[in-house]
Order: sequence, then C-alpha cells, then structure tokens
Amino acid sequence: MSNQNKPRSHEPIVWLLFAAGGMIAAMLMPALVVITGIGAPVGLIADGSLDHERVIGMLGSPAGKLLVFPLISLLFWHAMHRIFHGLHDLGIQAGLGYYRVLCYGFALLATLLTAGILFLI
Amino acid sequence: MSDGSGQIDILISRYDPERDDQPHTERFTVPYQHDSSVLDALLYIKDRIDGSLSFRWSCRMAICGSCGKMINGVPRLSCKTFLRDYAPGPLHIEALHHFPVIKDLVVEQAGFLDKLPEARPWLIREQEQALADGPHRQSPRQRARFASTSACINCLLCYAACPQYGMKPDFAGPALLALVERYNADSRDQGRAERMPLINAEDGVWSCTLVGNCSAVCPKGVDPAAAINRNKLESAKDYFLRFLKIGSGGAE
Amino acid sequence: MSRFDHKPRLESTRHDIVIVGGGGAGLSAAIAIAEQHPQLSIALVSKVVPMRSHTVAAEGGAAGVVSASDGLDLHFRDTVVGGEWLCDQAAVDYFVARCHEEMVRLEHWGCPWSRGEDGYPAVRNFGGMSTARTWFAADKTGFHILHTLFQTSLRFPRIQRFDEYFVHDLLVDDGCCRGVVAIDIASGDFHALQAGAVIMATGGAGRVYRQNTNAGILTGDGLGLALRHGVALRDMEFVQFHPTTLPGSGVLITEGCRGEGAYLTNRHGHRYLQDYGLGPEVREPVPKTMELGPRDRLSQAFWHEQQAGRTVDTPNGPAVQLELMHLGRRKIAERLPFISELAKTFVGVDPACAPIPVCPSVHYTMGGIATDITTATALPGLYACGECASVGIHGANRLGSNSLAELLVFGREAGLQAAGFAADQARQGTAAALAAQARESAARAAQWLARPAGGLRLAELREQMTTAMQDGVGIYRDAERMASTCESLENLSQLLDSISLDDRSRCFNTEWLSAIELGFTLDVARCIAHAALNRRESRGSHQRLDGYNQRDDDQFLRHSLATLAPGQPPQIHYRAVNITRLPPGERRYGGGSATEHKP
Repeated sequence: MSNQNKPRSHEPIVWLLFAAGGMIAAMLMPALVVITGIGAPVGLIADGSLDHERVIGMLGSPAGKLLVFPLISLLFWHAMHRIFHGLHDLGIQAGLGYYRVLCYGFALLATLLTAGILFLI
Repeated sequence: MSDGSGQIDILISRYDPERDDQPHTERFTVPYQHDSSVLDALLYIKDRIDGSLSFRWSCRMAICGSCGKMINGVPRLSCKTFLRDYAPGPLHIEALHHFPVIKDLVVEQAGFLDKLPEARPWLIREQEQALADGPHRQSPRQRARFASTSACINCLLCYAACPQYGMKPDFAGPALLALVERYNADSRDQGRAERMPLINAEDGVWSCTLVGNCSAVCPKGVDPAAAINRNKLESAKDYFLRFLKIGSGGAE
Repeated sequence: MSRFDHKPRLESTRHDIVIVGGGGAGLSAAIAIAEQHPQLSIALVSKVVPMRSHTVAAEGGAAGVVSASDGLDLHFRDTVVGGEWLCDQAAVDYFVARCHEEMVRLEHWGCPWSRGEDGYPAVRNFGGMSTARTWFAADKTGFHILHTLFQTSLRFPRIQRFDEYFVHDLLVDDGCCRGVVAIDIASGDFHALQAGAVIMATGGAGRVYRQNTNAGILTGDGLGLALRHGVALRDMEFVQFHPTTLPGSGVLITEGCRGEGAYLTNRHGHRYLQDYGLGPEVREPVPKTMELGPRDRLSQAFWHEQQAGRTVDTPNGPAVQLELMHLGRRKIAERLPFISELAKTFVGVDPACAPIPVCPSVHYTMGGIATDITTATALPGLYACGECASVGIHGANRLGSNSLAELLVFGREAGLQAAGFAADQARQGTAAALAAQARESAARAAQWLARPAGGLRLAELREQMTTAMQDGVGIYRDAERMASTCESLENLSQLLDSISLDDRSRCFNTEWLSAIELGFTLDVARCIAHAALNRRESRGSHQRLDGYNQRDDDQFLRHSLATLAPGQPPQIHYRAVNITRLPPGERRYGGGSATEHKP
C-alpha cells in the first residue's frame, strides 16, 4: 500500500513548456487576428508598420529577440506535445518511445533553429 | 423519444465464464412505464425471464455507486437512466468498459479498490487533536473547496470513460486523483506531502491527457478532470522546487 | 475455464474477530478494534464492497447534544417519549452520553460536516427532538459518514476485507459463536472464517415490504442467522414507516427538509398535521410541532388523509405534497442538494418551483437481534450492532437521526466488547468440529444449485411475501389481516423448498444468493407478523384498528421476543422493559394542544 516508491514522472518539463505555449497561443492569437485580419485590411494599422524592414529591425534589438524567441519556440512545444498525446488518445500505443523522440526532437530542433536565426539577424 | 409507456427491446452482453469463451448478446423485450429505469428493466428480466442474468445494484437512488453499466456505449448509472429516453430501442447494455468482466454485467473492481490506500484517503495531521478539544474549526467557504470532490460515489463510470485508463490499467485514474484532491483541499488536512508521490508518479496525474470524458460522465458533478489539472500544476511546482526544500515526495 | 472445473472449495481461515457487514456499524467496530487492540486480526466480511452499504443512503443527520441550552437529559427524554416508553432507559442514557463524542471523532477523521459561520459543525431540527441537535453533511450525511469510515479503515492493515463474501451460516461450538461460513461470490467457493468472536452488523430488513426506502441488500440476513441459532429477535412488530418518500419507488426524501422548514399539505393545500394533535400551524419550524412531529404520527396522519380522500393522486398511488418552495433556491442548493437531484431525476420536480409528491414507505427495522446494553446477544461470542440489533434505544418508534448516532456509539461498543471476549478465548481445540460444521453448512447451501428445474420462481414467492406484509402489517393493523398474513407467510416458507433456480453456475450467481436471502427474509417477516398479531394494544408505530387502539401499559409495556423452531410458527414471549428514571406518561406533541386524533 506504499505509494512512496512510485517512479516520478519527468513530464513536468515538457508539460510546463506545453502550458506556457498554450498560454501564449491563447493570448496572442486573438491579438494577431485583430491586427492582421481586421486592423490591416481596414487600415487601422499605420502604413508600413508591418513592413519587412521594420520587423527585421525590431528583431535586431536584444529586446525584440527576447520577446520573439519564447513566442515562437513555445508554440512548437505546445503543438508537438499535443500531437504526441493525441497519438495516445487515438489508441496508438506501439512505438510511443519512437514518437516521443520524433515529436519532442522536432520541437527542440525548431527551438534551436529559432534561436539560430534570431542570432543571425 | 417517447414519454408514455410501452415495450422496449434490450440487448444485453452476456458472459458466463463457466460456459462461454466469448461474450455474446441476448435480446429481451420488456415493458416500461414513464418512470422505469434501466435497473428496473434488468430486475424485470432477472425476476421474470432469466434468473441467471448477473449485475450489481443496491440503493436505487444514485448514491451507492453499484449499478454502473455501459448503456448504448456510454457509462451510466442504470438506476438513474430511464427507458423512456431510449424507446423503442434497441438499448444495448454492457459491462463497464476497461475492467475485466467476471460474469454478464459484473466487472472486477480490484483495479480501483486495490489502489485506494495509495491516495492516503484519510485526514492526516502532524499532531492529532484530542477528542476532548472538540472539532476542528472550518468555515463554510473552506468546506466548499472540497465539496465537489468529496461527492464521489466510486461508481467507476469515469474509469470506463477514460481512454488512458483503458490503455494503461496502472493509471491511478480519475476518481482516485479526485480523492487525493479532496483531502489535499481540506483545510484540516496536513498530508499533502504524503500524497505527492502518487500525484507525481508516471501513473499519477501525468498519465492524464485531459480528454475530459471523466467529468462528462460523472453522475455527481465531481469534475475529476479539473482536479487532475490542478494537480499537474502542483506536481510541476514540486518537480522543480523540490531542489529547494527537503522532504518532497517521490523516487527518481 | 479451468477455474470452475473443480468441486466447490471450502477454504478456512482464522481471525480474532469476524465482523459481518461493512456499513457504518461494522466499520465503526472494525476501526475501534484496530485502534485499541492492534494485535488482534479482524476480518470484515460484507456481501457488497463497504462503501455500497446502505448507510450511504441516510440523508438527514446524526443526533448529538452540542449546545449549552440542550442537555443529555433532554435527548434522553425525547428518545424515551418518542419510543413511547418501550426503550431500555439504561441503554438510552449510555447512548445519549456518547453521541457527541462520536460526532467529534468522525470530524477528526475528516467527515465534512456542514458548518456554521463560526466554523463549528452546524445542527438542524429533526422530528420529535426538543431542540436542534442533528449534525449533518448537507443532505448526504450517511454517504459522508460511510465514506469517512471506509477511507479511515484503510489506514489499518489489520482490517482484512472480504468484499463480496456472502455469509450464509454461523459456526457455533460448545455454546459459543466461533465464526461464519461464507460464499465467495465471485468464485462460488465456500470460506469458513473461524474467530474468537463474531459481530453482526448487517443492517435492517426493509425488503420484507413491497414499498420501502431500503437498498436491495437489506434482506435481514443477520437477523435470520441469529434466529436460526436460537437468538431471539426483539420488538419486531415495530416497523418504521418514513412519512416522506417517493410514491412507488419509496426513494427517501429526508426529514431534513422538514427540519429546514418544509410544509406538508394535502390536496387542498392545507397543512393537515394541525388536525392530528401536532398544531398549531407555525410558519417557521418549531421543535416537536407540525412537520417536526415524530415519524409514526406523521405516517398515521397520512393514512387518515388518504381514508378521507384528501390526498393527491399520482401514477404510483396517493401522495401528499412536501413544499420547499418558500425555502428559496439558495437554501435548497446549500442544505438539500441531493433532495433536489432526487426529485428532479425520479419525479421530474424542481423542489424550488413545485411540491414533491410524498407518501409513507417502510424505512427502518426498530426491532432486531436482542442484545444487552453491551451489544452482547444471548449466544456467547455473538455481538450485534446497528440496525440489525435491538439494543433497546428506539422502543416503539425511532426518532430520526438517532440511528446514525447509534451505529457509531454501539458499533464501537460492539468492537471493544468482542475484542475483550476474543482475547479471553483459547482458540485451540474446536477447529475440527468447526470444520465439520462448515462442510455440512456449505453442502446445504450448495444443494440449491442441484435442485431440479421446473419449480416455483423465486421472485413470485418474494412478491407474495412483500404483498402479504404490505397488506397485513402496515401503518394501521387489525387481527384479521394480520392473521391472514401470518398464514400466508407460513405457507410461503413451506414453499421455499419448491423453488428452482435458472442459474446453476457458481460464478457470481446472484440468484443463488437471493434464494438464501429469501429464506432469511421470510423468517424475519414471520416474526414481524406474529409479534404484531400478539401485541394487543397500540403503541408508537404499532397501531391497531380492532379495539386495541389504546396503549395498554399493564399488559404490554413489555418487549416482545420472537424465537423460531424448525417447522413451527414463531413463538412470541415478553420481557419487562428497563425503566430507570422516566415513568410512563402521556406522549404529547405540538404546541400544547392535547387533542389526540384517534380513528
């Protein structure tokens, strides 16, 4: 009846990344919809605000990099975690270890790529 | 839908381990009134048609938790499910999913019962209060924090609904994790640390993928999914903060 | 399939104490032993997993004196007067003195009692009680008590559970109860549990009647077992009809509704209880007045309203109306959420908007296995507690909320007494005799499975029994109908041997268990009917229409004791009531109105 010897799950690491990504998606998506879906077409956004140069300029600053890096990378973690657990919900049990490496590996790769690209800007 | 009375066809999944290799389905036709429950139909069959049909039941008023069955594929209490909603049928009754079938509609419940002590479902105090000191104080608001989780009748419908439990019988499961939350949320309890190993375990909250079926089928409004999700946060905090404190639960 | 190829096995184990029944009383006993005598081994045997036991369905609350304005003496008086002086007053004194402590003990174990704003457990009014002293956990008090006890029992590895084991016989050797024989329901194998002492905590026998509030498991097994081993059943004629249950199903609608201020009205919207000596009509709940009268009086008042044609017709028979609308949705949600759920589910009524149709149904077996104040029966080594026992606190009418308190107080007492007895016993020497007895008993039980087909259907016999009881031994009784019920029951018990089962298998054969249960239930029914026929007076829940419609203290201020010899109708004897300090007097309810309504 002891519960003290149960192996601890390491899921909290990816779950926290997943949760943070979910939070960002929930907050950011509506804002993006308003800006790009309504603001820009209707002309509420000042001309040139979303121009390539201006955005690159923003990403050139350390503050910009710091803002955008978690924004992009955490969304990958969120998506891949959901996909991985979606497999489980669909009853796919065989090769879960393989899928785990594939899903979280992809998220990790995307995170590194994001960091790399941001570094190069 | 029909609101009156009449006859309904019922298909029952039968299995007798002394004779059958596989479950098979039998058809019965039973009369029903506006207030006849699925349990009434089962009792009618047992009393008048085939006494060998086995199923658990007891209180008839949705509080003892005995009579859960799959009813048209959905786990429900048979005393609280009414034939009028399924007329003219056929209505398909099976044993609760995700548990081994003992006979007909009776399942082996050990997968839940044997895990109960792991939840430490009793009040844990650092220092037990003497009887002479009277009851602990607890405000109505403090009591309200565990009112819903303490309403669980252990009917196991949530286990029958949970795809994770179906694939992974070692998973603590919705009712057990709700029970952990019931005691952890009780202002009189000081046993959270003792319950963390179960929460933190691979078979604890982390086996839940938030499908939410458990809360959807709960006949008592317990909302185990919410209880589990609250404890994911607790477990994540515990995972990282354990390095800062002594006595956190769980083997590596 | 190999699991079932062998002949039924008979396993045997030894324990210090065997407890039969995993409800509130059995669990209280088990925990008390485990706490106080950790060296003793305890077997908790129950035909259902403990949290399915019928304690789970108790709603309103449990009595325990709390406030300064209340007192043990007042609780004592309410109980003795409520039981119309047929209570053992020493037992009542012992009981009321321990209720509060048991409520606190449960609180310490985590029971979620409803609370007042000051953080202390709240109490509510209940029928026949002079003041608010009923502790409650919303309207699911029994549920919370049972789950608290069950979960607390998991702390003690010395409590070994035998879940879904059906006890069909006692082992008796050398004049002492030495264990039980049970069927492991899942396998159909037999299991003899030898013990130094046995505690019966199997609950009541409401299933003797057709319309009752009881779970299907309440078939009077413990009473039947005791009876067959020569232990008398006491005061069996006193069967409680709960006045507010759903017509047809008998689903319980708690007295707590009335404790919170609900009204009972007839078809004219009239609060009829004022016409039966329970007035004056008061808007707010007043103890022992109107809807807070005792259950026997309220059920009797219903009967009169029905006779006078002032009840409401429902598809399931006549009813009166339980009105909660004036309490408001918020109070109903806080204090009576389960009632709200039950009314919506089973009769499609939202009690915040419309009255609930209610009528009396059989609810509680006030008699039971005769025990002394220490829960010991006449058979050494056999103890009984809870609804299956008659320790003597309920008399001719139980007050609501005394029974949940009873199973805590006397469950604990039974545990400690049995532990003391078992510790004194040499456990050697009788094993061979007990094993032979167990084999013989198992063979008898197994004969059910070997009977030829084509006999009577079990359910037919059961229906005839419940119909006979409903017709003959109801709220109001007369000699003619009781005698006819007695006769029918004797005939039915002759027919028991003509039943044949559809199910001859062993694995989870509930039909087999039902047949054995019916044997117990029929014996209990016979005792009730004969004890009722023999009591030629009216007292508490036993009311007669045939000239014996007054209380007769000279002849019948006595307990009835029913015993059963094979092949004979029950024998009824009488024994004096232990009256220590409250001499018999007039039983009066309502705000000073002395008018008594008698048929």
